[in-house]
This record gives sequence, C-alpha cells and structure tokens, in this order.
Amino acid sequence: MIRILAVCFFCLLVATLPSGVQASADSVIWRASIPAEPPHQGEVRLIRRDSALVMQTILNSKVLKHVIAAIQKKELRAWPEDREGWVDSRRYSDELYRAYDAVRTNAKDREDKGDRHLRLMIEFVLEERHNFVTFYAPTLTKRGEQYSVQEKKLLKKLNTSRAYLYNNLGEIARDSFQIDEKEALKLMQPIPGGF
Amino acid sequence: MTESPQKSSKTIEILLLWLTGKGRKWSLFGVLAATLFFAYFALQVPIESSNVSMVSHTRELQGNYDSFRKIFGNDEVLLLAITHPDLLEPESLQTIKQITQELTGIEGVTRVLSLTNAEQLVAGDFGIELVPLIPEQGAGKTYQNSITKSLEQNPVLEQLLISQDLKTSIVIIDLTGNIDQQGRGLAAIEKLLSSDYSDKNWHLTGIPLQKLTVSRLIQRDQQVVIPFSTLVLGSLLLLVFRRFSGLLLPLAVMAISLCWTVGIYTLCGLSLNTITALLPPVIMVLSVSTTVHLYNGWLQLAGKPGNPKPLIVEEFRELFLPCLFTAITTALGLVSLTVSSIPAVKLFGAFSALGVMLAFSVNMLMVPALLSYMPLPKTHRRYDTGRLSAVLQTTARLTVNHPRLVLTLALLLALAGLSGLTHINNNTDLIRFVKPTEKIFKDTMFIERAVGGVNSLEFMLTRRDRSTLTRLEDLTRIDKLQDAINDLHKVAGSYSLLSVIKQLNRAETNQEQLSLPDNNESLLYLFDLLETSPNQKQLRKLVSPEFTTLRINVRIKAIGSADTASLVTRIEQLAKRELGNDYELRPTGDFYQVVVDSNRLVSNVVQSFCLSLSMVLMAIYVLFRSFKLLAMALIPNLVPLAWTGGLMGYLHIDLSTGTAMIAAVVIGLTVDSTIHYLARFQREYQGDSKEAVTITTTATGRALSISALVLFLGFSVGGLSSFLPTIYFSLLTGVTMLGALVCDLLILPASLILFGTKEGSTSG
Repeated sequence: MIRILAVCFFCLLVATLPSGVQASADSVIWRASIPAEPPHQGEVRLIRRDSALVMQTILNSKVLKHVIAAIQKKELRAWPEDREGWVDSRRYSDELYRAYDAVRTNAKDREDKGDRHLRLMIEFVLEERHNFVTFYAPTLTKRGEQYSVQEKKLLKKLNTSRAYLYNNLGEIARDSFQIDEKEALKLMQPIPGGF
Repeated sequence: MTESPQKSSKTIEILLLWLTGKGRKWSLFGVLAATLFFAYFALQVPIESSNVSMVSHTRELQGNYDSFRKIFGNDEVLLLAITHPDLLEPESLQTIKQITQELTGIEGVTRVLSLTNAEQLVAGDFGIELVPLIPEQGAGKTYQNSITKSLEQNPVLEQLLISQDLKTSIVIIDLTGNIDQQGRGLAAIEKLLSSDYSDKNWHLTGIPLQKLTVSRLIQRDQQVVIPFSTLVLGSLLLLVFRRFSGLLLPLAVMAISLCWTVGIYTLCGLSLNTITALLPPVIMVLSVSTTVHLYNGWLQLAGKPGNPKPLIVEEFRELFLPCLFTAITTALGLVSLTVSSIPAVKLFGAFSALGVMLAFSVNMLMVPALLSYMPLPKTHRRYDTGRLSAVLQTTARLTVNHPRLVLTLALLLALAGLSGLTHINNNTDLIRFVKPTEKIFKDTMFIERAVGGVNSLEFMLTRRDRSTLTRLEDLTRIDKLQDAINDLHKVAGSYSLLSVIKQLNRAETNQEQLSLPDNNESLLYLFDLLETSPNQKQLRKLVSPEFTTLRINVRIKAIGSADTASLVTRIEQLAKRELGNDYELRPTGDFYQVVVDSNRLVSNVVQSFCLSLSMVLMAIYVLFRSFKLLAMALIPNLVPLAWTGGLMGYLHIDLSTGTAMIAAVVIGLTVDSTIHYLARFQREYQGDSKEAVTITTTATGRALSISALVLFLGFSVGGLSSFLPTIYFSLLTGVTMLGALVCDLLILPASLILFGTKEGSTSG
C-alpha cells in the first residue's frame, strides 16, 4: 500500500513540475552560442530527448526581428525552389515570423518595461515516426553563456516532411557549431527511425 | 673700482698664468678627453620620430587627448588620393580595389577604406542589409549612374572618399598607434606605391607621414647645415684673419663645444626635433664669437717685444670679463625661452644656453693654452687697414658730427618698424613648416583642394550628468549642432555617430531621406542594433561603449592655427546655443593642441622677452653700475628688434614656433656688442666723448663688425634648413644682428655724445 502511495505521489509530483524541469531530462550533445562572435543573441543545442533528436534554438535578443530576418535569409539560401523541402521551409519561415509577432505582442503586456529583450525558442524534433517544428515563448535563466528553460508556452507546432527536418538539422548543426557535413552527421547519430 | 673686481682680476690672472704655464698640458688633455667622451654620445643623438615635443603638455589638454585616444583609439590616418580622368571606369576602380587589398595586408595598417570596399546600409527583403557602396560589377553609363546615385545617397562617404569632380578617389588608411609598426607600415606603403604604382597619379599625406618626413628632413639638415656652417665660418675666418691659426682655432672650439653640448643632450635621453635641430648651427656660431675676440686680442700683440706669455695673460685678463659677461647675457637670453610651454622651445633654450657657457669654458681652457705655444705675430697690417677701417671712420664722423640726425632717423625707422609689428599674424601651420617644394607639402595641398580637409578637429561630447546620449532629444540637438558646424565657411564636413544612426533609420524604415527616427522607441531599437553590430571596432571610433561620450570629427579647410582657434571658439558658441548647459563639448586631437600652443605663443613671447631683457639689463648694470648707461644700452638693442618685427609684418611672416624665439635670443646676442663698445668707450674716455667715440668705433667697431658678420653668415646657413620656421629664425636673427651692429655703431655713439659725457669717467 505504501509502495502504491509512493508511486502515485511521485507521478503527481512529476505532473505538477514545470515543463522546463521535465526538459532537464534532455541530454545535451552539443551546444554553441549564436552568433559565434559576441554579442551573442542566443544558444543552439543538439539534444537527445528519449529516442528523439532535437535541435533547440533559444533566442534572447533585443533585436529579435533582425535575428529572425537572418534566419529567414539562411532558410532562403539553403532551400532553393528546386530542393526537396522548399515548401516546408516556406511554411517554417512564415510560422517563424508569426511566432515572433506573438512574442512581441506578449512583451507589450509584461511588467518589466525596461527589459527590451524578446525570447523565442524553436525546436526541430526528429522522432522515430514524427517530424515537427515547435515554437515556444520561454522563460529563461542564464548562467554565463548557457541558458536554462524555466517555463515554456507553446505557440505553434508545425509538422514537416522528414527530408526537410533531417536536412535542416544538419544545416543548423554545420552553421551553428561551425563543423563540416561529416561531423554534423556523426553528431546526429543514431537517427531516430533511420533516414 | 672696489676690492672685489681687483680680487677677481687677480684670480683670473692666476688662472691664465696656470693655463699658459704648467697647467696648459693638463688643460688641453682634459679638453681632449672630455671631447672624446662626449663625441661618442653626440654621434648617436637620436631623432624624434613624432611631433610630440612640438606641442605643450598641459594637464587639461593632455588629459582630454589621452581620454579621447583611450575611448576612440588612435586618430592617426593616412590619406591616399588616386586621380584619373575616368575614375569611375571599371579599370580605374580595379586599380583602387587592388591598392586597397594590398594596403590591407601591410603590417601596421589596421583598416583601409576606399570606394571599392565601403559599404552602405540599405533596406533589404529581410530588413537592414549591408551592401557594397558601389556595385562590384558593371560598365558603361548605367554603371556610372548607379555609382553616382549611390554616392548621392551617402553624402558623408561621398565627402570622404571622392572629390566633387569625381576624378580623385581617397583611400583612408588607419594605422596602429605602435610607433615601430607604424614606421615599418609607412615604409612599406611608400615602397608599394612608388614601385608598383609609379605610373599612377597618386598623392599621399597624413599626420604620421608628416612626422616621418620631419624626421627625415632633420637628418638631411644635419648632414647639410653642419658642413655648410663650417665652410662658411671657415671661409670668413680665413678671409678676416688670413692665418691658418685664425681658421683652425675657432673651428676647433666650435667642434668641441658642439660635441660637448650634443653629447650632454644625448646623455639626457633626448632626441633632436624640428627646433633643437637648430642647436648645432647656433652653437657653432655662438662659440666662435668669443674665439674671435680672444684671437683678435692676441693679434693686437703683434710686434710687441718680450716674453709672449705675460703679454697673452695681460691681454686675456682684460678680455675675460667682457667675454664672460657677453656669454652670460647670451645664455640668459636663451634661457628665457624655457618659460615657453612648448617642450621643443624649452629644450632649445636650455641647451643652447648651456652650449654658450660650455663654449666660453672651452675657449678659456684651450685658446690661451694653445696660443702660448705659438710665437707672437710679427705684423698685422692687413687687419689694420682696408675698406672696413674706412667705413668705420665714416661712421664715427657721422655720429660725432650729426648725433641728432642719426637719432632722429633711427627713431623714424623704429616707428616704421613698430607700425609693421601690427601686421604680424600669430599663426602656426605644421604642414607649412616644410617648404612648398617638398612632396608632402604638394600632396597635402592637392588633397586639400580635391576633397578639402586634411586637418581635423576632434570634439568629445558628453552630458554633464554623464548619462547616456541615447535619447531622441540628445540626438536632435546634436544634429542641429552638426548642421550649424557644416554651414561654417571653413568647415569641409563633419562626421559622427549620427551619420550611422540616420543610415540605419533610412534602411529600417525604407525611406529615401537620411533622418533621425521620430520617436524614442525606434531610436532605442537602432541603438540595440548598433550594440549587436559585428563591427564593434568601427563603432568604438564613434561612441564610447556605454554611449556616454560621442565623437564629432570636424574636417577643416587648409587654414592655420589662428583661423582654427577662432573656428573652435565659434563651434563652442554654437554648442552652447544648440545644446544648452546640460552638455559638455571638449575640443581635442593632435591638430587642436597645435592651435592652443599657437594661441599661447604671444604670451610666451612676451614672457620670455621680458625675462630675457630684465636678466640682460641686470647683467649690464652689474658690469657698468650706471643707470644712465643702462638706459643708453637699451636703445641700440630694442631698435633692431622693432625693425625685425616690422620686417616680419611687412613681409607677412607669421609669428610661429620658430619666429617667436627671435626676440629672446637676439636680445642676449645684440647686447654683447653693446657691452664690448661701452667697455672700450670707458677705457678710452679721457674727458672728450667725441674722441672716445671715434677711437672706440674705429678700434672695437672692427671686432664688432667681424663678430656681427660671423653671426649673420652663421645664422644665415640655417636658411638651408628644410623647415620654414628654422629658415625664418635663422635669416631674421642674422638680419637683426646686422641691424644691431648698425645701432651699436650709430645710435649708441650718438647717444653717448648727446647724453653720456659724464658716464665715461664715472665707472671705468
């Protein structure tokens, strides 16, 4: 009886914990501040979450609009019309701007008017059977150059093709971790569900 | 005469007996040993590679400049102008691109900015984009039109990088503050341009190159002026004395005095600069003067019977005090320059005074000892006759027969000189220090004409409460101030962070016009953008990291320090009007320091001249103990200065670092002749002043004429210098010496005849 009570209590505790604490179960494979040269505007982390592979981009910037523009520019370059996944890239770019708009609108209501930073978290999630991008409005704490997510509010979940998501993970890894394609692929192993 | 002079006369006699007797070998050996020691260091005298000693270092000025350099970095740049009739053709642009790339790779070069690598901020599909100022590829009329349109949209870059006629492109080369690296960089740049681009029409200028040129010219001057001085003085001595000993003895004293002074200068850890480069010729000239008097005294012994040693001792004992006093008065005149706030002038004053006293010591240690080895001259006929004697006799007759006429004419000329004094401008211009024939001068003037504004004034703007300058109110006021500054006639353009903010705003809002944002929120966003800019290094050249201090760079047209000083005052007034009392605008920069120094020059001149005059007067009084003689001695010394001042005014020669030294130096020199004249007059006066004047003018007048001629020619050699202030100083000092000779042989005797009859007997 005591054992059952203990298990129930543990489950209750886990359910009430903030999602960020749950995310602490994430195993970070690689992390890097972006851009590589200061002043940094956030952090990119490659995460193993259970069997899923997650490329998490945390943005904390006073010029988020320009950071978003820079991401959109990179997307446009990486996904020309003749490349498979181009449509997903377009959809991603559109959602990214909407997510920024939502973050900006929310920021107008916040209490600390002196803080001009806007925060956005993007996750490219590659699971065994699912591939999607999620946009969050996170609450962050920062130690040194590393961020930890205290809370996150889901803004949008965008399902994409596996080809786009897998390849974009590689693109982001190469760009943010300053590594070549071979090293990026090595970091991403094993690919959940294979490719 | 009191006991004291008798006692000192006895001491001098004992010293001279020792120097011509037992002690002569020791004395000569001591001089030789000291000369070898000092010569070793004198030959290694370094040359200043910057203009640091040409500007004063007051705490406030230096403090401002130090904090400016700490915040914004080294402000020294080179400007390279490349001219081509079809500058905007692809071929010309390719040349500029190639030069830009090659310059970027040179050690000591921190950044190169030209038409081919300049960038502009534009509104792109994804917000602000940094794109090349001119399109990388293209040809023909359309391409040129796109370039001109791009330039029109970026007026600040246009002003900086291309001339109005679109035929001259400017390449701005930022250099490191490290002097050694800078030197190597400059040499490499010059080598690159003169070897690989010798067929191109290029001009190079900038403060670092000006400093290097000054350093090279000083070296060149040392190689030319010293041998030429020796040649001129040697020829003159040979002509006057017609004896080898009359040539070798003064030259030896000259060389030894020079070795000692420059050796001590080097041992003090000092480097030669534009002004102290004058030390060798000045010391050579001044040291020879005492030797001329001593050697002339020895020649006076010609044909006298008996043992030569006692005769030499007797003659030199008479000459010792006048020579000592003339050396002291000359040194005092020079020492007065140490009140100057400019280090180079201070050093020149101190070391030339030291040189004069050392020369006196060398003369007294060497000349009696060496002459005691020689037999007395048998005759000295050539020296006693000739045109000079005829001229002196005519002069004596004129003063004796028409003293009032002489004084009236002198007075009228002095008044004319005084009226000319009012035309003198107080103006220092570092680039105009070098001759117009020098390449650096031509290049600088070319670039001035092409883009206007090689010289820059720097301003540091802060709020008095030290808060950030990020509010729209701040920037709007600063913008108005910059507009007002740009409207000033002598301003070629100004540059500040506002230019970048306006570009950012135009790109952010996709407007046509360059303007500031219309609300604080947008402005703060632009500052956020600046903070995240990858080009922080360039941003730090415009604003401090905390955004509390803003740099305003004002490029000014080719004007001297006088006009610049009034321009700075005008800008400060505009700042008061546009910014109010909440802001502080501090002028600074290399060029501004020169301007401040120039303004101080007049008060410096007055101070050093008053000091020089009072010390010299004191020395004359100590020697003659008569206020009346003192007053009479003043006239022939002040009148030539009035003449020289008038000459400067009528010839439009500015009062600058070099010419400002003339009065203080000359008063110490001209008084020497007055002292010699008065000393002889007192000796000759037997109740008849006319007779005493006639004898003094014809006898002492000869030595005075030779001495003045030596000084005139000696100083005139400085006319071969590469620096205009040095040339003016040398020539005008030489001319003043001739003026002083005229005054000593005309005004002083006329005054003695009219007012000084009793003075001859009172203190002989």
